[in-house]
Amino acid sequence: MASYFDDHSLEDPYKARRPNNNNANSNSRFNPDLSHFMPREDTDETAQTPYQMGATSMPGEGDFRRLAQLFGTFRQREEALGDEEHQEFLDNLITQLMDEAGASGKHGPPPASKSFIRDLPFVPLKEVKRDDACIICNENFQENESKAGITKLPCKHFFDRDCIVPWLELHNNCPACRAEVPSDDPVWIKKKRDAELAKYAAEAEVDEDWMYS
Amino acid sequence: MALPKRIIKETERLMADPAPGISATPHDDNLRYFDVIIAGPNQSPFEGGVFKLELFLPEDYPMAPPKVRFMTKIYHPNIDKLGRICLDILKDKWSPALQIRTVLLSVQALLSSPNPDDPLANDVAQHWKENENAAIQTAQEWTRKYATA
Ligand SMILES: [Zn+2]
Ligand SMILES: [Zn+2]
Repeated sequence: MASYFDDHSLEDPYKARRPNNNNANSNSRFNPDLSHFMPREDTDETAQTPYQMGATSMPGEGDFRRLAQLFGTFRQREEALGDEEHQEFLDNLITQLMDEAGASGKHGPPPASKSFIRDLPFVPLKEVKRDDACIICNENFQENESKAGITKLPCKHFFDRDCIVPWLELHNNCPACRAEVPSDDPVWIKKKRDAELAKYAAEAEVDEDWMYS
Repeated sequence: MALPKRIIKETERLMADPAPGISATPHDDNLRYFDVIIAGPNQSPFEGGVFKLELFLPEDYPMAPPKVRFMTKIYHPNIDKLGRICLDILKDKWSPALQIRTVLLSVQALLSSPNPDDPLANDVAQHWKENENAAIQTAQEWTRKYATA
């Protein structure tokens, strides 16, 4: 089947990225590689690249969103022309780009607070049971003593410090039991405070009911 | 870049001791990219079907979840036209304690228990809610048509 990209004499980013896609399902358009659409970094030295990670530039949240908007304007044109197949293709692409914009670390709970991470305790090796392994790297604590040492969360779950810190920098919960730890995130703090106020209010109401019954 | 030890261990275990009804094979040229096959669970509308999926471990795995998509067309309220799966552990409920194996078992479980109240494919979910028998029949037809090896 001719793909969208063949029809339009474009380089199919899907094909370009996946060499082994000559099977029956290869015409699906998963994962367009955005680097094909992105201006090369060296063509515009004044451009800010806030999402740059390491040596290679990775498309960031803003890039995905801008592209989604761009395709949105294409879509409006296709709609005016009454081309339903292209409309559907662009719809899918836009949905996917918006998904990517919200992906990687953006999903789920906010980061743990800086002070919580800084104050993680050091746990001596003898405190850890012989067969215990760190569930993030699957390595046994005793056999594979990591240089940064072992720590534990308030829920008493043990982790290599090297393994748990990158997680806590993304999310404020325990990978093993999802118990929450403090966060600096204002939305999280507000939600926490509102929940506590609601709890006090409910308790006060119970007291009143009891008084007047 | 060297493949993290955890990924090597997970892959070895997947190959040596596969979960029933599930196979996952890494590509020779990209060990983070897996071809997955899930057999449609018994007593589900997908029984008898063989479903192909792709699974990709991003650079930040296991801090970020694997990316999983159905390659085989499937009529399911939580799987859309692009094969994307609506499953909380692949999004906000991800934890690095989960593994490729647990993710694929959850996908298999989703085939046994479609949840039209948390839909990704809205038209399919609506069909499922309005006329479950008819929706199941369509799912069986699609399984015969697209998922028979
Ligand atoms: Zn570890
Ligand atoms: Zn815990």
